[in-house]
Amino acid sequence: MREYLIKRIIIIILLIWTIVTVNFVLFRMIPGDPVRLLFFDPRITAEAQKKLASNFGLDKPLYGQYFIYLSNLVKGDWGKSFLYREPVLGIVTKRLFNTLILLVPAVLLAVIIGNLLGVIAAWKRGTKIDTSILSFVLICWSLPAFWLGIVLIIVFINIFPISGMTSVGSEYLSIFQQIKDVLYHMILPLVTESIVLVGEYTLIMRGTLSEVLTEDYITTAKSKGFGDFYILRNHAVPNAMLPMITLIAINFGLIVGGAIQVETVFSWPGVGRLMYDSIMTRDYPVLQGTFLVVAIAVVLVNFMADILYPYFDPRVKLK
Amino acid sequence: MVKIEIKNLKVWFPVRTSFLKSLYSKKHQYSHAVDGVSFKIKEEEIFCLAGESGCGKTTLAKAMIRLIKPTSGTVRYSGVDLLSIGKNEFRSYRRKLQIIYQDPYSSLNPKKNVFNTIAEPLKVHNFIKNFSEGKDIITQILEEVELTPAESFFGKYPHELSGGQRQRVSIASSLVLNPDFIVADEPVSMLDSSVRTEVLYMMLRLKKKRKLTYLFITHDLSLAWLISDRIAIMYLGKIVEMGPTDEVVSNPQHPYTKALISVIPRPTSGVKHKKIILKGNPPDSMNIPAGCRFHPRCFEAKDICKRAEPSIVKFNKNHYVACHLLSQKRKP
Repeated sequence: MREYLIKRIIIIILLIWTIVTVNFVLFRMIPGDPVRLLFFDPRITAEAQKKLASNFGLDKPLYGQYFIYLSNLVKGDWGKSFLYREPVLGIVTKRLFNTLILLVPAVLLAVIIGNLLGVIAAWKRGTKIDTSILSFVLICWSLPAFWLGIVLIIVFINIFPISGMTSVGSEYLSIFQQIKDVLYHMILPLVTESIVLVGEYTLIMRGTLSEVLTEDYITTAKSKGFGDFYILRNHAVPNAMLPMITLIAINFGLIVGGAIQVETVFSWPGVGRLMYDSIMTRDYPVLQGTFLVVAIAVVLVNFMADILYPYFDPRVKLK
Repeated sequence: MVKIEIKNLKVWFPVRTSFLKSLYSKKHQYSHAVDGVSFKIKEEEIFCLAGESGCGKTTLAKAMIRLIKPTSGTVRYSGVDLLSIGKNEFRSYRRKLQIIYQDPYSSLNPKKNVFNTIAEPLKVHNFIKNFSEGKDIITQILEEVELTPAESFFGKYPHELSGGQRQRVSIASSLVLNPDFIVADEPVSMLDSSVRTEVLYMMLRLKKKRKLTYLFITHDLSLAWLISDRIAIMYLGKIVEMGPTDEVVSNPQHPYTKALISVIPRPTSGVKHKKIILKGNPPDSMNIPAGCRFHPRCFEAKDICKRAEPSIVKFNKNHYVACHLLSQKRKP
């Protein structure tokens, strides 16, 4: 186990280093002069331009820039946003927090409801209940998030807040009041994201579980006189959980990247919205920072899933 | 004493038709997996059910212990009609009727270790209150199925065991409920031949010790010959011949049985046996041929075989055959 962990951590470090390198190269390949992008004023003199470039280290050869980039990253200096004139790391962490507030409950809700529906559909396979669940989640799955968001806005415009995380210009007497306001603003984006995600979980659960239910050990359990619900809970579902854990891990990695569509429709100040805005304003340092955070998150969450695997399946051994 | 008796048992499965077809035709198609089977199994008897794959052996056995709902017919266990009693009442009979499966690789839950696999039935049937209480019972049963030292197997998961060991665990988890009727669904056919005889003889020893009644399902006639008291040959959901094993093997009456027995491998004794090789495959159970269901493949088929279905009749004491040729032979 310890050997495995050390090996994995070395691999993770190498992986993150590769991501950082790709991230660096990717942005050097984008056409255009960063200095010109920074200072749109056409009257700027050639001398001033050169000075600015050397301030940013842009007069150095590419490998020199690469080492500056690496050492700054390690030191926690992720650069400054072109738009906000603030350190990237601060912006990204703040946005990441906002995204997690919205998406962790949304994914949890989708996982719980999706698994429940999937289990019911698999257990009642071939009946009308199964057909209705299946058609419901297929519709959910094919709905585009932005469209669903807009529809919900139209329907609930007078009931729930439709944009932002907090009411504009509000001052709070206590932290609870603030939390209440955020929760209130969260309802529509949360529902939208959950509906969009629920189909995938339902279908995966239904598929794996109906396969597990045809296994001989389920019939064995029946022949031992175990009740239907007991078999479902103690024999079938635990054996159907493995693909679900993989899926949840992958999705948890992805949600760090934010739900661009939902965050944009509901003006939720999360990572997805940040990415969208940075692309629109060519805010490269921020974009670079978000890419890095998302990539690292995916790597770490998958690492966690790998470590958790043996607890869910005794056949998996970490070596 | 008759342990279990089934009468005219039928298991028909509705066949799923395409959505379009179901629009213009209300008629349901059925697969006649088991199509009217009757027999009795005496106490402490080994009754063998033999036939090709897909002939309905397993379905019949599962229907007998209510793992599948039969379409019609009756199953009597020690005089009680198992099919008419309610679910809760049946639970007390459930532990008396156990099944051992063919494939020990899929019949054990991969997430449960040996101890839990065997302790779970005890707990569900309230023989023990918690898992630690069952330690003595489980040690004893593991020793009975010759997995020793028993403690060393407690924490093992199925994937850490060999096929023979898995099958022993599977047998142990069935026997722990003290059943008296066991359906053994090809229990040794997936095992290596070296382990096969060991497991088989262990099952025979357990039968003597625990006074069990076996319904032994197999497609291997030489195995049936070796262990069973009586045998029933099944073809496409019906029994074509039934009787004491020695008599059926030495004096087969139905052409299908004759064909099966002619291909049992025997040690060469200089005498050459004529092998009867059947042509074609059994028809599928959705379109059963009119008349005798065996006639398209029968090498002795006459006109009458195409028209009428033969009923099963007594050939001599305890030996029953379903074939037109038999009665024709006897009439003159």
